Amino acid sequence: MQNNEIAALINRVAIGDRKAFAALYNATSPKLFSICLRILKDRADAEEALQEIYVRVWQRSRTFAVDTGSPLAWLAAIARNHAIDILRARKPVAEDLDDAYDLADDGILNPEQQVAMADEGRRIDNCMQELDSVHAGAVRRAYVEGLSYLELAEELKVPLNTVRTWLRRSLLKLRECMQR
Amino acid sequence: MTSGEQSQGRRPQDEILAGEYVLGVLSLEARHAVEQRMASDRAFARIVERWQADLASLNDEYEDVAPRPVVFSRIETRLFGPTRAVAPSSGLWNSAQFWRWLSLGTSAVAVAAIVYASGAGPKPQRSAPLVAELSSTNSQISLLASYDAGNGRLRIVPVAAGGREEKSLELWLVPGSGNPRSLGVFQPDRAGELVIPADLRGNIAEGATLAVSLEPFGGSPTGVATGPVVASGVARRP
Repeated sequence: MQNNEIAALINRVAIGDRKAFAALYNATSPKLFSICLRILKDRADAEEALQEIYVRVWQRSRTFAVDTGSPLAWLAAIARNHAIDILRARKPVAEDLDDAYDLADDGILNPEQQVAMADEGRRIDNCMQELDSVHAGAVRRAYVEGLSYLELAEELKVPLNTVRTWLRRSLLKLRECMQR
Repeated sequence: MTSGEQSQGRRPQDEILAGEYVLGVLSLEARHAVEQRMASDRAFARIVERWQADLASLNDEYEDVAPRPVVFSRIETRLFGPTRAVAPSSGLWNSAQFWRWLSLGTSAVAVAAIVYASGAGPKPQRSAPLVAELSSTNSQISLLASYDAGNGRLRIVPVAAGGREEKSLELWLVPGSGNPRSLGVFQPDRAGELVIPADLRGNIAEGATLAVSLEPFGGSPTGVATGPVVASGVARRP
């Protein structure tokens, strides 16, 4: 289904259209369910999460604005956020609140400034390729599986602070690359 | 570098924090702190939204997996109660014409129907008026409509009206099929009462959809809505 069709369905859901809600569910639930499964790694938990996610989609559909981005990205964010919240609640991670971000200011544009170049902006994929491949892999796994810094450190067998520095530097490099 | 709240130097830290939030590496407490800040700091919320959009192509890694069919019926039960499956409605929302003119409105006018819960049971008393609250998320205008089937009077009470000079509001009945029918014109700044044409009275019942559009003074010159739909709602027995 095209993005604009999904956006139209969300707008119909916003005024209480249950048929549109069913159509939206049919079109998008396989993707959102996949997100839940990948992050929660348990089918029953994923089904439970999916229910809550679509309840939120129904409730928040009024806040969806076409100009804030693709409707699928909006839906995926709701799904990822909920699945990650469940994961973190299930398995809390200790966090030292903050150790200084000793990273230089690379002259990051604010979002408004960047809007003008959004169309010709590079896709994140190109920018990921500019990262060290190990770092890019860490970014990807963190996102796709919802891993915490600690889990990433264990998986990658490096100290926690190292993986944190990798990700933070990668984020700044990605931002710099995206607006180049 | 300090972590000065409002200083110029906070931008890289904000970029990182927002990116970490979207990646998902933060603790639950830190995630909640980010969400609270998004609610109060629009500039920061924009940074988070930008990461969300930028990283969205990583969603391609999630390959479709269909959930069991029972999941959707559970969702419907949670949202709409245990009574029935997908709306067997006569297609109130299927009027292509309605959607065409709805889309004329700005996207900011996400229309919401806040409906009064029924306390009257399955067989509502005939004397109880129908009430619909018509509202929109931009909250410039919110209206309460109540309809007395006994005398065909539909009362409109603006709950909050913005400054809309030289404009009229026009109330429409949105049928299951065919064009929306005008029920009359009223001014945004005061309560009004419309007498519904007798041939339309039968159509105003529970579940009927009412919508309000912003029109030139005196109402739509063409007989179909020309301005944005500022509110719509479904009538329910209060």
